[in-house]
Amino acid sequence: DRDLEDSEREVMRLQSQIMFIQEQQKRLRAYKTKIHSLSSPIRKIPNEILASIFDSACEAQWNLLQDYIPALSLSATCTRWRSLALSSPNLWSRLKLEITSGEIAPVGVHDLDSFVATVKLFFERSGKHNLEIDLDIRGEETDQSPSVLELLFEHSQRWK
Amino acid sequence: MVTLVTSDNEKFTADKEVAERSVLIKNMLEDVGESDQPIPLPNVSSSVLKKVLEYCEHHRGEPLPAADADTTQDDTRKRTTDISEWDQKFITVDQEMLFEIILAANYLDIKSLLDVGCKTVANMIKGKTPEEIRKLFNIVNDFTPEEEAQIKKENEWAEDR
Repeated sequence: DRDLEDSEREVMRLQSQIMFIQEQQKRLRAYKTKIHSLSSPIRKIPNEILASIFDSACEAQWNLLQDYIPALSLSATCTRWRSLALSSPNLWSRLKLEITSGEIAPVGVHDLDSFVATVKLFFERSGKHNLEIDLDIRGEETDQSPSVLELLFEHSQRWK
Repeated sequence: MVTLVTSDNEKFTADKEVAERSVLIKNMLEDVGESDQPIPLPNVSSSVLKKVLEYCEHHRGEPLPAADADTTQDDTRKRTTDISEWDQKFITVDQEMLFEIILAANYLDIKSLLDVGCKTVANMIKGKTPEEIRKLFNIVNDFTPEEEAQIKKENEWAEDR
């Protein structure tokens, strides 16, 4: 019995040691990644040039349905990029929308609420910047106005 | 001819017309007047200056952009991330060199080269997810869990569609 107890204690001791080493390994990996990223060439680029790169990346009117929107990707990369993207209204001022008159949701949109929330996010972050919207309205004229169109009208003074 | 001295003390000679595509060098030459004195470029290494001079040589004689042209805020400027075939081939270098060229173009004030560099990086970014961008440029995700949650919420639309 005593031998068995001793061996169990030894197993527990070794297990806790393994856990400790694994934790240390995890920390070292994270540290290595951080150190490696410090030497990344893009870190040397000052904000004013990075802002110009961001502007080029977001230059077209992006269709929220088709692409990974550069403005959203840039602002979700790291804290430095997010802070720069959020302080650059121009990145959020270009959109492409396809709307069919008579339909509440734009063409291809299944979750209208999150779509409208994204459009609102763009308008909010575009601040007072002029909006460049490539709007494609299809179908016959009706009395029913799609909610996204109403949102666009709210910002009509900024249309370019 | 103009003599340029790099950060690693290498001397390059270039035609005045070629070297003057750099607004910095052009202004320096105007300031010193007629002189054979070499121009020190402490922020540019020889490998980078070699590439920069190759670019300036190729674009020799082309009109320079107006001095007051705004690079980021001008809404009326022509927007395009198209890069000419020669420029594309020229800028096909490793990331280290690409960013060194961008920094040198900024320091030497060569707007067209800076544009080519910025557009190239922009084209690398387009269509990529944040994770793909991080991997491409070796960037660490340093968001706090709260920021992560906020970003996830903002990107719900992109994830759900």
